[in-house]
Amino acid sequence: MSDTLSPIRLHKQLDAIWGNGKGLERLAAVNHTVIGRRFMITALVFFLIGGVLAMLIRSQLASAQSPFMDADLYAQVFTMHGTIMMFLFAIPMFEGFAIYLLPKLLGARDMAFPRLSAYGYWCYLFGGSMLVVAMLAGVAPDGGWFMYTPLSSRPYSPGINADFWLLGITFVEISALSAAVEIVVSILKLRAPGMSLERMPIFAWYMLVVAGMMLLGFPPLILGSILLELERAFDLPFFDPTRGGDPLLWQHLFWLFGHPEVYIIFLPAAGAVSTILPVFAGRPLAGYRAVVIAVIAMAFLSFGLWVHHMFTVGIPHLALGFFSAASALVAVPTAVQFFAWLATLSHGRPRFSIPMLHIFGFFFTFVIGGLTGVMLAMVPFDQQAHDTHFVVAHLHYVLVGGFLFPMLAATYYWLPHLTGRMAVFPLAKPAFWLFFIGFNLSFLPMHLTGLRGMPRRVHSVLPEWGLETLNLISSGAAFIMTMGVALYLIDFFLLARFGRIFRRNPWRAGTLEWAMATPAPSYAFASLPAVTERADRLDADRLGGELAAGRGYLGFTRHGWMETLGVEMLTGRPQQLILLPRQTYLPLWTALATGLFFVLMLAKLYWFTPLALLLVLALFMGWARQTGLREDKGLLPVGRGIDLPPHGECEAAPSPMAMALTLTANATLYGSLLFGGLFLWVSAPGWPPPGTPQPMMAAVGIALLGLVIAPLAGAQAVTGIESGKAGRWLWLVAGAQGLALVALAMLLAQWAPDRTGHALAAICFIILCYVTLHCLMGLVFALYGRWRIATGHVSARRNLDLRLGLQWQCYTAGAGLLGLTFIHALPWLASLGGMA
Amino acid sequence: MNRPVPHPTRHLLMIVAGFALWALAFVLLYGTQATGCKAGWHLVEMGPANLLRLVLALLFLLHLGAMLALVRYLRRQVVPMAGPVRFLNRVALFSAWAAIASTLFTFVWLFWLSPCQ
Repeated sequence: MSDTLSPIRLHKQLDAIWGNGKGLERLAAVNHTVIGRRFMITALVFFLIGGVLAMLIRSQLASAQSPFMDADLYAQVFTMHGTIMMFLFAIPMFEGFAIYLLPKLLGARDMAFPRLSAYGYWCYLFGGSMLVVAMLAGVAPDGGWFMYTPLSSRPYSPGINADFWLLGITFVEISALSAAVEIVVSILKLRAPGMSLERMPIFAWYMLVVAGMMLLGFPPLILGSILLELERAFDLPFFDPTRGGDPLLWQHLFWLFGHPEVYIIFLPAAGAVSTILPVFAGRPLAGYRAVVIAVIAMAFLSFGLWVHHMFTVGIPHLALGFFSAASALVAVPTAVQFFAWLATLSHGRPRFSIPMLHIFGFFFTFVIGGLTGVMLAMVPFDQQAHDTHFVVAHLHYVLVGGFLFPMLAATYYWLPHLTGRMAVFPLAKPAFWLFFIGFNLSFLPMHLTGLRGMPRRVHSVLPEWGLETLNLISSGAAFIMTMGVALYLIDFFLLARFGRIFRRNPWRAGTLEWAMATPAPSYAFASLPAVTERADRLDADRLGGELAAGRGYLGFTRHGWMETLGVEMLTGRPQQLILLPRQTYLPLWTALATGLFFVLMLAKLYWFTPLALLLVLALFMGWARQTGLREDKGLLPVGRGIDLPPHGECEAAPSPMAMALTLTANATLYGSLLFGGLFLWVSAPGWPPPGTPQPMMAAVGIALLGLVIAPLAGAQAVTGIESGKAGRWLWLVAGAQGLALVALAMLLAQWAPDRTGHALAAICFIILCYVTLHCLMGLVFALYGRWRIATGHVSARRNLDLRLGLQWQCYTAGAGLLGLTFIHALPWLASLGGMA
Repeated sequence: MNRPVPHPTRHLLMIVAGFALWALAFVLLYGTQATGCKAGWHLVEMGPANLLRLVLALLFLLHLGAMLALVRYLRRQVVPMAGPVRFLNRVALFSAWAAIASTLFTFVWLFWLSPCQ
């Protein structure tokens, strides 16, 4: 550690630690700037693939009874278009955007778990590539982007197409969940000192809420995909109405994810608008607090609308009323944000610019999409327009308006940050107008074709429908839009290659990302700022110079450590010194091993899949080898006269919060599974089944004993570190989990023969599998704790490893108790089935 | 720097408490409606209404009561004149009011729409 350094020397020292290698060493990068950029570029490539598919769709529909594609190919093309745009473009694009931007906005040097970001990126790349390879091989999914059963069930989709979707998307969603955990922890823990929650840039509030939504929104989809794949692979009849299943269960699970998903996509884009618009209005965002409340309200309300995609499946009036009202209600918080933006503009002195032009495009397009959304929220109208091109028009107005235009605004606003250059060629305006006019000419007529009865997902327009002219206009305009996209790409290239170099803060913004050199250095900030006012009103020019000179926190290097600061989450008071992991290939290897599991599933080599999972586990253990200190460090100086403990010695370290969030997502998945069981009991035909096994009480009792002992012994292990008894308590944890595993194996053997006969047995079997898997992981956590003690990574102060294990044991005990109760309760409830 | 706050997690969770109650109401009312129809509660006449509607109304009123209690708790919290705790308290309070309005608007239909048809 050195006391005073020149800015250039400080830069060199920091870059030597944080910088990424050359050549193949680039694959070891975990830095948020690199990973964020990779996410965005990969998403852009997928967007272009999805765009080409859209052109194929419009070519097919340009004339009546077009022979351009046959029905099978058309089904693959529209399925892949939707799948790519939703799962491989929109979500990863904003994930990359958030990963790139958040630490810079918050005044941190990186995200909380850089290796997790890298692992998420590789999972996304490999999972997305699986789908594209399937398309090139002619076996792409063809059941629509929502894969409704029974069409996607084995009897009606016997090929491998649907498996590609189910496995590929689940693989990709690992990245969404890892990003969600990462984003929440980073926002709450890794901010600049002094940046209390009410001083956070508004974009961080948006992303905090969005990440929370992702944690609760994605698990139902992942569960649905797992259940459908289990049905297809092992004949467990969750969606088969002839054996107590119900295809509507898939729709519930899918839309429990699918509707919040729209807001998960919209809110980051709205966050970008709330960040950019005030800069060009020349005044801070009006109604900051109201916007925060509106975003929270929107997040919750968006979870109460899922059935509005199912208004035509035969639901009682009262339930329709609940969902219709919630669907209309969500317009209110949206409007609050719009009024905040308008108030900001009206009270400021707006400057016109390319980002603002795209914000205008957003206003115009999204308002139309929002209004047709309110129309579709009304049940009688929806029943008329359901599954027509009116819905296609609505969803494109919402998604292109609510995501693409704001993201284009964001791109033009932050591309100078990414590249260090400003645009000099006036291509953005013609690109915008081509795109804007092409989009509206293409999709506005679809409202009419839809209202006149043109259904979605049909490959042939019949001449007697009289819709040829409107369809031809839509198709022609789609090509105008494509020209706009091509101009954008040329403009981005010209900007990045030949743009004008600027020094700092070209838009005169007041947020922290502009208080650094551009393109951003690997370490982001040479020293970390002390924030004393709202973090969108800062003097970025002055701060930039001070921070580069090392006059903030951590303006030095020490032991080659990658350091940033952790703060108390409300007040922003400095609390801990976060030591981040160095560059490593492990995320890449782990993602490859994870991919191996999915490929083995796809190849139906089920007996080999446990080997792949063991490999994944072993590689994750490899991550732990590079983590943690082997001795207590006590308080360490972090600059400006403050000393802090390293995060491993801090009670409020980031990892327990990450574990709590992971378990929350896990609990959502489990809750969705239990909901599935109850839903089938209430709604599915063929209940109760003729005979149901009664769980062996002795096995249940032994399992419960093991499940309860494990967390109690785990708690003793945490408190017994100082006395040297932690190791022995961990053996007891392992023994207890082993005992529970034996009992659970007996119960599984009891339920296994019936699992394909009826959905009730299948649900109970899967619940037992879930609990068994958690016990197995509980055993792994216990043995891991022993290993960490043996390698000197655990002390009374450095007890994180054992605390994380304890969190897992507690969750497993709760899930086990609930699950064992449920497998008793469900058959009992089923026996009451004939009451009505 | 601001003074340390004793319960940061609690203050943070309060900002979603109102809408969490709305979500709970949603799950319980929708689940009860489906279960009640399955069990035939709508066929059990109880004065001018039936058993299912009464149970739903009771759940609805319980949630409204819980939300009003939350508002009362948030209004009575002693918070500093400025700083993050006050900010979160205000956000929590107005969110709770918004959740009450949302509850009324979303579920008021249970008093007259047919529950099982």
